[in-house]
Amino acid sequence: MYRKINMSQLFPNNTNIIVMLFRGNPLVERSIVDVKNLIKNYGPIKALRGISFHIFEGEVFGLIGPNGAGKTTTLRILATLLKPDSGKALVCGYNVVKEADKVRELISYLPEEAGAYRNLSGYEYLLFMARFYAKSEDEIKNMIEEAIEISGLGDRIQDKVKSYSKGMKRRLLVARSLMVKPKLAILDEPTSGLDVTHALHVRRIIKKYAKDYGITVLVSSHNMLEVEFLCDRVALINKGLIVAEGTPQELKREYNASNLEEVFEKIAGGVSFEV
Amino acid sequence: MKSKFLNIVIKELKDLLRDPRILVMSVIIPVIMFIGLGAMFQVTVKKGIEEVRRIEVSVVLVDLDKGDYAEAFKKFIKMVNASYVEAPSLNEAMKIALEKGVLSVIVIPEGFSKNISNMKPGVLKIYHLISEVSFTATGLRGKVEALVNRFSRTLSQSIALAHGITNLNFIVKPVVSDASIMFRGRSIPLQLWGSLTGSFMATAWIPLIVVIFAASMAATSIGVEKEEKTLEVLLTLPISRFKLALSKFIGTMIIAIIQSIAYVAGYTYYMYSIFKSFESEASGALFSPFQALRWLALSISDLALIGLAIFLTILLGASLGLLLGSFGTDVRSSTSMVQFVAMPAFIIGMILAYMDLSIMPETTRYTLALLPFSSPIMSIKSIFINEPILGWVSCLASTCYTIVAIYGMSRMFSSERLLIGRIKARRKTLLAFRSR
Repeated sequence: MYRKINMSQLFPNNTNIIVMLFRGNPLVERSIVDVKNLIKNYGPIKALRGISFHIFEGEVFGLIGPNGAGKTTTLRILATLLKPDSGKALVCGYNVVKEADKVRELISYLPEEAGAYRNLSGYEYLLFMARFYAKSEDEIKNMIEEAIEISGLGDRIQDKVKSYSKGMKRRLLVARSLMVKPKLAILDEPTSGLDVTHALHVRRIIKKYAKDYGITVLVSSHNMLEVEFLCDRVALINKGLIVAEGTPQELKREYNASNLEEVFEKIAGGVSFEV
Repeated sequence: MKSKFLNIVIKELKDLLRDPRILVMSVIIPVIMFIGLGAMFQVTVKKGIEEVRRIEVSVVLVDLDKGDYAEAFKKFIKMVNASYVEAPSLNEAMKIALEKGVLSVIVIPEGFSKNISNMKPGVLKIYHLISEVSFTATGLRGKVEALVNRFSRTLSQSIALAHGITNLNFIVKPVVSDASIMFRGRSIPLQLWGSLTGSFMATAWIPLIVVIFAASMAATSIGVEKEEKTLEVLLTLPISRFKLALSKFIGTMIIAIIQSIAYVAGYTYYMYSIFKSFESEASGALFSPFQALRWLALSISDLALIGLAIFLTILLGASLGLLLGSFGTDVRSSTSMVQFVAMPAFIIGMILAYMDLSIMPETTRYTLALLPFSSPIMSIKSIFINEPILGWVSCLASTCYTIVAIYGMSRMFSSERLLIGRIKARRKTLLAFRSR
């Protein structure tokens, strides 16, 4: 429930606070991610040309765009892996460059092409990861139990990761990133390599975790169906710039399109999406 | 609750020890190479010696002399339980030797007896046939040579007796030397010194081999993280980058130390096997490193110096391996970076092992001590030339290099270059990242 609060006490950092009215009551939404004018160049290549967006608490936010648009670069900057050339990126008010250690305590990052340690069992991998976040042995136990549930790996969790299929590995990694119940989950193509059934399962789990535990999720995806199902809001990114932002419904209405792919086509002028 | 730091160290150990490549390098190689070789050596040498002892000397004889001393030689052969077959010519002798599997042909040339009668040496021509390169064949050849030598000696004694000389040994060698090496006030027989220092210097090479393995293991560890795409997640975990680098480093170090122990144990067993094989033949010609240590009676501070030098060199190898491996993009490119550690380590090792430090000016000695990877050999040499400070200086230099390497490594772990790879590959890799 929303309530009026002394904002300066609650948000001592320079967190963005958006005050809106909801059915006549003041609505306070806390932004978890604040990105402002982010620029990142790789030599002569301009990866990000000044992007800005906010993600609010408990929201599932989708970043969509074609190959080379700058999605992964944005996610990597927020995950403290890359440093922007200029601009600012804050996670819960902490600067991803200057306060990277604090940011890392709040996030859980799932790269698009992530792997797990081949010579460890799925269980050992989860145990290894849980130890970074849990404060007690009980918490570790709970995290692992949840992860086994999320991954759907059952008894195979005791097998070495090297014996897993691509899909099994992906499920293990998704489970790893959600079991720690981060403040912000940064998921780069979370369902990549999963079959329809497992992809559906993972999407439902992401949505459930965001709702039940108030986890804020930043998702990058090229699957429009996935984006429409998962995301509360999306940002369309093209050539290092955000070209549109809003809820999937808003965007479709605004651009008079039947799906997000059409929206993007209308904005970016026929840039094809990766498939 | 395990600390985050310990958590990574344990993961490193599990992951490395379960990696077949690491297992081969750290356990199988020392076990097979040294223990296997040692056991093999022991078995072949023992069998060889037994075989040589068992087999009677058999030769094909060509008597072109037909004189008294030729007859005497034939009788002598029979007396010493050896046997011979006669042949009319060398060619015939060769044929018979091949048919009967006899390995030596002795030709008594014309004038053999006449020469001896005239107090000139009689020459016996021996032709050995090579059937196999083996310990037994070499032993049998030696047995034939020994037969001729025994005959010669018997003849000397007869000639000497005829001239009224009873103590032939004294006549042949009236003066003998009894040399020994004075080392720190202790006298060590000269014939032992060579093998003592030899075995000891060989021990100094082991750390250099282990350094290269430590470096390549460290590089593999970071290369695997990149190749298996686990590094990205690892770098976003809530642990400081310095601790992350350090825990990887410690994990590698623990395995490198286990590896060193395996190598030293393997090497000691190998030397011991050789020693055991020859024990009854030539006593005390070879030493295991421990026996060498006992003979040299090194002090605690000497041993501490050598131990520290070896430890610091492994430390340097592992930290440089991790640093250089960080520039690679996968296991292959990461481990190939290790050549920058391996080459200088070997070159410096080679130069120092064969260099005579004592005749060098002081400045040169100390400059050499400052070279990276010099400490294992430098510490041993500094003890031999009684200038241990040289070894300590070398250790200090190693420590400085290691600190610089660890600092570089922690810088590398906190920069985005670790993810991006080496500078050359930067653009290519980034384009690949960007295309996602």
